[in-house]
Amino acid sequence: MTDRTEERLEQGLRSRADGMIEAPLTLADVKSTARTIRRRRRSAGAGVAALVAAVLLPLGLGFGDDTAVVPAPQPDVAPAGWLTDATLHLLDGTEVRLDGIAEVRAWAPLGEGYVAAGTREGAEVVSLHDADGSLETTWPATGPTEFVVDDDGRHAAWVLPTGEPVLLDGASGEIERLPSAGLGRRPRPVAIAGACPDECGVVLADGSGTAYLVPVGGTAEPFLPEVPQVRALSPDDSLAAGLVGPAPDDIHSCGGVWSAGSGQAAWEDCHDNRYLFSPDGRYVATTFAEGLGPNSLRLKDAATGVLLHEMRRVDWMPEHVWVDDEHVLVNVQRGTEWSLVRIGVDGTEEVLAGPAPGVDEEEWGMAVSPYLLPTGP
Amino acid sequence: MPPTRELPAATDADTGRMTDRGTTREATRDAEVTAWLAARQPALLRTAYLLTGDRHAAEDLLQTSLAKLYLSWDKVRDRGAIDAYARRILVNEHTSLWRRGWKRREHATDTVPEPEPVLESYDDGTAAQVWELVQGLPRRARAVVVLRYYEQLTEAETADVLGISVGTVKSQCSRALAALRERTPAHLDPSLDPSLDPTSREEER
Repeated sequence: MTDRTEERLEQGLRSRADGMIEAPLTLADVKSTARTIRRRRRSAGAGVAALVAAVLLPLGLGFGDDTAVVPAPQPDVAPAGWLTDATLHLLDGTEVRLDGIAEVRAWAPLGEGYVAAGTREGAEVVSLHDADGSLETTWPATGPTEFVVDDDGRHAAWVLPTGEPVLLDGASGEIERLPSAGLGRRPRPVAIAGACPDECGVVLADGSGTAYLVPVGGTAEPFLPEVPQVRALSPDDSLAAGLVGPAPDDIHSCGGVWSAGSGQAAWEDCHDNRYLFSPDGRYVATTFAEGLGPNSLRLKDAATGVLLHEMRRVDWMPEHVWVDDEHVLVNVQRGTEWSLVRIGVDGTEEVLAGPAPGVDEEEWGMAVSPYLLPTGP
Repeated sequence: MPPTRELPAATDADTGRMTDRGTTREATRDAEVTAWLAARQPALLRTAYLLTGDRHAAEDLLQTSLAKLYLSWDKVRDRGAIDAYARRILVNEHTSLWRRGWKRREHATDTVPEPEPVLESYDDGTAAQVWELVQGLPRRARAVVVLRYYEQLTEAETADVLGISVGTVKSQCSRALAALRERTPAHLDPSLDPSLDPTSREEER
């Protein structure tokens, strides 16, 4: 039996586009836009040039005085896994010890190495480590630092004690300070939007939920004002998750997903207040995190909100992260034991680690998970 | 080379400095780009239209992409690679944040007529379904479909342009095809109706 679906797809695309035979742009149009781009690039700072140069070489392109926008080759990104006792247990079976940092509260693969938040000699820091876990650099931080990483796993962003957002380039190990003027009180990072390093920015939300975008080389501007309380951004920036307000039961939250382009709501419901898009933007994992914390997790179609799978009736699931386009790794407490469970949009559930007893009961007043999952994009 | 007073002012596209060398170089570049635009711009516009689903957005995307190509023109040593390079810029520019809604407002008052679909004699009515399906895909998945089924790139070439794995290309295409099958009425889809499939009839014999 022959499936002509591919042929239909080709014909459908051709029938739509083949009638376009115009060449609407002149050389003058192109050069005018080129001048604008060149001015903007020059204001972006010298730090970008080194990375762009590194990108150009593998493509066989020469060097000039300007920076060209060339899609960067995808670097090897360290595989995800979990951290316990300062040691990363990666999904490929290898173990990496993060040296020079204690009390790790967050970590993520960054380029070929890792970024982490913890303490060094008693001070709060964000640290950069190489692929072997050796400490390369630390930067000061205040309090339990939150950082975000971009969808390519090459840049991280957080807020300095000065209130300045910073963007860390995992390849060069350099941070770029972004202006804090115009941001509300206590901004926290939500996402890195765009394609770093040339055209990207840090999305932040202040204490009232107002969202801002601080672009590299620019100043803070309102971000998607049509979307209330932006909580997450899909990897291709086409969808944004946000919160509308309390649910009718005065316990849960109403929120949903909006089209970033049109500002139109794609769907809303009244269950959850945490959203995390899958790497391909096709799905979104949602939880409700208040009070005792999340104890259920829902995997939904990002565009429609249709529920695909729900994990319920656990005691606590403080964190989760997408490990591929269709699976989430969840840190799960059942009774006194903890497990890492990989759940899929197809309803599959697989225990990857545990069960294991909780730890640090004296410090926290209750036993917490021995596992720490990476911060997802 | 230092600036000279004898030559007319000209700005080197790469450096912004005025040089006599820059004058010649810019003239050469402009002539090459003009010729290339005449030959290749319509094809790039078509790809941009399939990616954006909107004529005006396609022209906007095309203009930025061509400007970036212009800035890099002298760096692409292999002139035969210009087409692929331009396509790469276009597709990746499409996924850039700066092509999102808040930029669209700049053109909110403009109107550009949408092209009429070219209905082929053998069109069985699924063209509209294809268009609806493709425009409903996430941007990256849409780019995969356009590159594979319109630009006719191989899976490896598509993966290279988008900086993703071949496996991701395969899975995105598979999903799109599955979705199209779901939307295609059974009486139009031979895969669902063996009586319409000559291969199936052949096998039965």
